[in-house]
Amino acid sequence: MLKIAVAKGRVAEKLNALLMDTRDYKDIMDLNSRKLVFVSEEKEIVFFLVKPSDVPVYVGCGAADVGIVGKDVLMESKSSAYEIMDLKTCKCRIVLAGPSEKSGVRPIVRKIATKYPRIASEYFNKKSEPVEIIKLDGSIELAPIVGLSDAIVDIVESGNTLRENGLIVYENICDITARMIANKVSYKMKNKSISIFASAVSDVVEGGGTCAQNVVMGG
Amino acid sequence: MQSFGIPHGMRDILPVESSRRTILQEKLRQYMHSCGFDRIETPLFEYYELFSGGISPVEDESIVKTIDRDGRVVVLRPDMTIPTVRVASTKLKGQKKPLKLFYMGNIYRSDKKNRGAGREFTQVGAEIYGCSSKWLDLETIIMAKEGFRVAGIADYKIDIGHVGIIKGIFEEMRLPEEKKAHIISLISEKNLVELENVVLTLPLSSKNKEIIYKLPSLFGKPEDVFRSIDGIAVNETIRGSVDYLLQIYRKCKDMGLGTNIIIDAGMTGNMKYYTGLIFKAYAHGAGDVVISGGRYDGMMKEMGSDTAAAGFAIYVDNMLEAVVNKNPEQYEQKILVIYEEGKFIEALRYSEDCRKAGVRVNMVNSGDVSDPELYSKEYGYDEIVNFKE
Repeated sequence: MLKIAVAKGRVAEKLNALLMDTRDYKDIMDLNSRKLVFVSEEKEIVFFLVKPSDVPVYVGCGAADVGIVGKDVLMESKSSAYEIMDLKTCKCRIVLAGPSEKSGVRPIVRKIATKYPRIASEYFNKKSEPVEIIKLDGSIELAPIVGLSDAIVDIVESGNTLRENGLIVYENICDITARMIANKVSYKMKNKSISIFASAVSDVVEGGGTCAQNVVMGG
Repeated sequence: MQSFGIPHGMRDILPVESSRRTILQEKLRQYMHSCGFDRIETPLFEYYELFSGGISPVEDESIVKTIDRDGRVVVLRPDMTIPTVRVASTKLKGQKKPLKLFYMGNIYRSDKKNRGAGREFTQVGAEIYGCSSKWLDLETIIMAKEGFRVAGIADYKIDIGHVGIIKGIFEEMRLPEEKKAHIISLISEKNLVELENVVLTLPLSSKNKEIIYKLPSLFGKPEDVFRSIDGIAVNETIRGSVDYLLQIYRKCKDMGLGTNIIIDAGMTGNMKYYTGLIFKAYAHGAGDVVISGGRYDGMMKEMGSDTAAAGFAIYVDNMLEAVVNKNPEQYEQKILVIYEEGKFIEALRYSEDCRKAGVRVNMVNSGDVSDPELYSKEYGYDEIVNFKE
């Protein structure tokens, strides 16, 4: 049985959309139901939905063999899993954003509110800018409005939420897509079943997924 | 009452689990001993310098440090190989080679990447100094395989690589050290997504780019890997390493280990530590590497000793996860002796005789246990023997 942990929400929806194009894995997941576990005995595969930040935990300790999750979560968690494929979907970016400035130059920021303290502090360390990172769990856009911080580091897709809250993007930090990760031990012990699943997905990924699938593995 | 916690990452091992661990460790100890290896014990605290300077197998920030009375930085050992090398190249320097040592004990790593954020791990491992090439590496593989056998684990894989392959590839290209380190980490993470991005920006010939790009995928069934590896064997270092792996694999096959072997040409390790063959072993049921080992002549040189050396460590915590039979088969008779005051001497004689005969006997004064039947049930005694006045 191949165990696949899928990040709840947008990633799960996009993955399911991809799986709909595959021959073997459509109709296993039903995201309209409230179930969290979807089993296909015939395909020897089980999908389960978990909170995005928990995906690297499940995969890291081998409770799941494979995980589907955004790159942002992987960067923040410093996962020990193999990152084997870019699903090229759920495209978004992590940005530094803040109140719009008339001058057009980014103001000096000292207090940064973010859901991603590790990504934010690595970014500012690299730029040698001294900042104070404030970790929040949601509604990050609120922080500069109420004066909790000067700016935010957050994930944006269209930028609508930012605009509606009077914020603009100062700088792009990185691009994010959904990734397939694999437990290091499973990748060797269950390589065959992982390969079969990964190549089915890679066939339907836009432009073909690059994936460290060895052509030579048989067992 | 105040509730007493324990520091983050530490854990208590309660009787049931402890007895499983003890049995496994004892089996491993006996096996190492039976191979003619002698045990050494090194201290829990070591000087920080021993693990700094790039030879440490763990990142600097995951070493648990503290400051000694004299102001020097001491660490809880994050590894057992380096202390063993320290002893082998100092106090045991004069010993005739080959020198074969084994150790058992706890190591400490506060590795954020590590699952469950545990910080205390038990290792049993062996080190061999001063054997000629092939036999040295073969012996470590044999012992790893036998480690699984004594633990009762049948479903396992030994994944073998050689650091000479990546070394040889870098001989072909002139790259700054930090770029090399980055590429090595991406290859060992099998992160083709990033590897592609990084390699694209490098001033390399398209052939070299292709070689780097191909490396993470070159693993699997030995025959298949050897067949497709020719394309990357572009110089002597690589060809030599591949030939060496092939020789080792043939010997493994002769030992009947063929189906348990995986060859991974893209396996990398700490390049200052490892110099030749490296291996990792996995087992069904264990979410993490169970055994890791390899050849580290380079570290010996770094520590001022010019001998060949290889070794491996078994991560006992991970191996226990893979042990299928959770209830150790070792059956021991357990007796509960309940005595009244006047019969104490008689009960004691009886108990001591039983103990000499290998039976576990728990002596309890009749006044200290209210319901012997219940007590006996909770601890699983086979029999209650009463000494009444």
